[in-house]
Amino acid sequence: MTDELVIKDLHVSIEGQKILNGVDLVVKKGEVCALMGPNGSGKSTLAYTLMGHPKYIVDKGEVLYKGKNILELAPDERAKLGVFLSFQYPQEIPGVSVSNFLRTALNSVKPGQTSVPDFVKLLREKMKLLKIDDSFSRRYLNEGFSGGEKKRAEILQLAVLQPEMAILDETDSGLDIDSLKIVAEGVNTLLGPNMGVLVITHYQRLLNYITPDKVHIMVKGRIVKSGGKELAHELEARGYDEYKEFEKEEVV
Amino acid sequence: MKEISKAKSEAADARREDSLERFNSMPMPKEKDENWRYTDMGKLKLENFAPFESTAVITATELSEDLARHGVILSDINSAMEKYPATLNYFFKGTDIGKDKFVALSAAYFAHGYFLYVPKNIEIKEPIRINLAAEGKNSVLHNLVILEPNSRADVIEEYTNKDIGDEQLNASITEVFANTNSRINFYHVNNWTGNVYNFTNLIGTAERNASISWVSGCFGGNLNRLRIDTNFNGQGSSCSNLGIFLGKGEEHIDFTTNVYHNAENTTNDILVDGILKDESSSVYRGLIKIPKEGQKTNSYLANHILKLGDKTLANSIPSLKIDANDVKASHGATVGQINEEHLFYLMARGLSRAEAERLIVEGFFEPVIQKIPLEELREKIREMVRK
Repeated sequence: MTDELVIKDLHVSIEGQKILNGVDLVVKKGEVCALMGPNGSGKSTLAYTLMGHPKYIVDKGEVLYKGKNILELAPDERAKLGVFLSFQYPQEIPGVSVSNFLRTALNSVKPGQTSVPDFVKLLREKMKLLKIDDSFSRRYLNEGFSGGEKKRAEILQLAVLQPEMAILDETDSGLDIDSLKIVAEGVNTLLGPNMGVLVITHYQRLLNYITPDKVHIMVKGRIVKSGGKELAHELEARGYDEYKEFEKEEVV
Repeated sequence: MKEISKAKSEAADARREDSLERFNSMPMPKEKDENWRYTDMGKLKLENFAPFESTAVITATELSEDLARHGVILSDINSAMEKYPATLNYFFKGTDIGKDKFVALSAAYFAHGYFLYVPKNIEIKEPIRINLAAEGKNSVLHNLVILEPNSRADVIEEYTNKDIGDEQLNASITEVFANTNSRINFYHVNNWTGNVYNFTNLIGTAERNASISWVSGCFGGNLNRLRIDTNFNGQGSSCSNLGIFLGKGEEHIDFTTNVYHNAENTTNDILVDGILKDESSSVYRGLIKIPKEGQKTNSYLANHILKLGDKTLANSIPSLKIDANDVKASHGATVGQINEEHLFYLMARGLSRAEAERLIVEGFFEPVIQKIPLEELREKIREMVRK
């Protein structure tokens, strides 16, 4: 049994098109890993594959977590194991209130642990942390939310469900600088020895607020370079140009 | 609550005889008939139910002394016909029994029913509750609600049955007359178990500036048909109509709303939402009819169906028949499947597929449920949906 998320030689395609071409990556518990890369490099594909979206077909490889190959599990079983995905494009669910949804979700991943009054307290506390108005909990999940509200709602879910392995897919996209700070501060207060985080981002911007322990660069469905947080700064200064050679390379 | 199930009266006998000939002369509806399209009547053999001997228990709110003193009447229909012969003038004032075989059936064979009378200027604050329980092979009912000018009432009628392990037939009519400036919120919920064929007709007539608000829910039964006809007979009259149905197993739901704008400046707003599970099927028919007399009418209808699974079948037939030139009328219908991306999103948070579907189903109805003015009814309908 290990609390590391271990991705081994992962090959994934969607509608017959190969997107991931052998990804190897480890996210340790208590560690923040950043995954960066140009558009179309396969970052979001990796995120969806880790959570089990049915459209993404795993051609090869495995993802080990807590002694299981999670690729064999349904999305809800992965969530129950402690995996969480903050969506780049959260779905709008009509008629389902944020509060009702979160209570149901919390009861699913941590059954029988939270009474209704405790839940209400927990939800209030986390909404305050993310500077979210009380009325928010009664609104229908993501319906009519602005881009910023949707991202805050994702981090609110992260805060309430307290997973052990969180994947944040482009959490910074669509956020103005004030919202970005609030969301990043929220994430920072949740970080700790019990949670591993994979931060997926195109830009270095978010990493000014959430400091990664490791940075991986993905190009054309593979990790082409790994390093410390300085790698993100290099990217900020020089862009992805120097990685273009990897895009030309034929993948067998 | 008190029982009002009295089943016999001479006045009723005379009335029934008039209708019997009409009923006998009408053919069984066929799927090609406009008002029966997409409903297969092949399985129902009426001869298995003849002579339609009704077994039903009706219980109703006990009126306060104050209301009784002010002339409010709530009794069984048979006593009412004997004691207040004028009620007979209201029978089928809002419809022609020849329009529907099962309206004719109720007219010819009804044995039970309730009568509610609200005199002029009386406002009944607490909802009047009526529970109608079918206890045998047949329940054939005729109910009558009369609101005199400037009166107001909320009525909740709820139909259930005792499952007798055999085919059961319920044929019922409720006629609602809203006289000048009166207002009624009328709630109809049916909840059938077992092999029930249900034919319920609600017929509303709104006079000048009167308002009728229908809220109805259809649950269960082999064939569950609810037809709501609303006549706008007076200027400025209005109606809102919210309907919810849920089909499961091999149930078939047949939901019809017809509105007849026979006067100027009338307003109508219909929203009927349904969910189909398993191998259930449904048809919704919605007619908006605006003759020349109906100028300056606003009339809308919307119908949304959510299909769970490929074995369900939904039909939606909205129609407009407009002969006036200064009106606003529109209709919209959507039939959709559950969104797989929604399911994935909810499952990614730990909900099983079944739980995720349950949330989506409940959420689908929530915008309609939110519009129901009575909290008690909102909760009741949520509960029915959860089951």
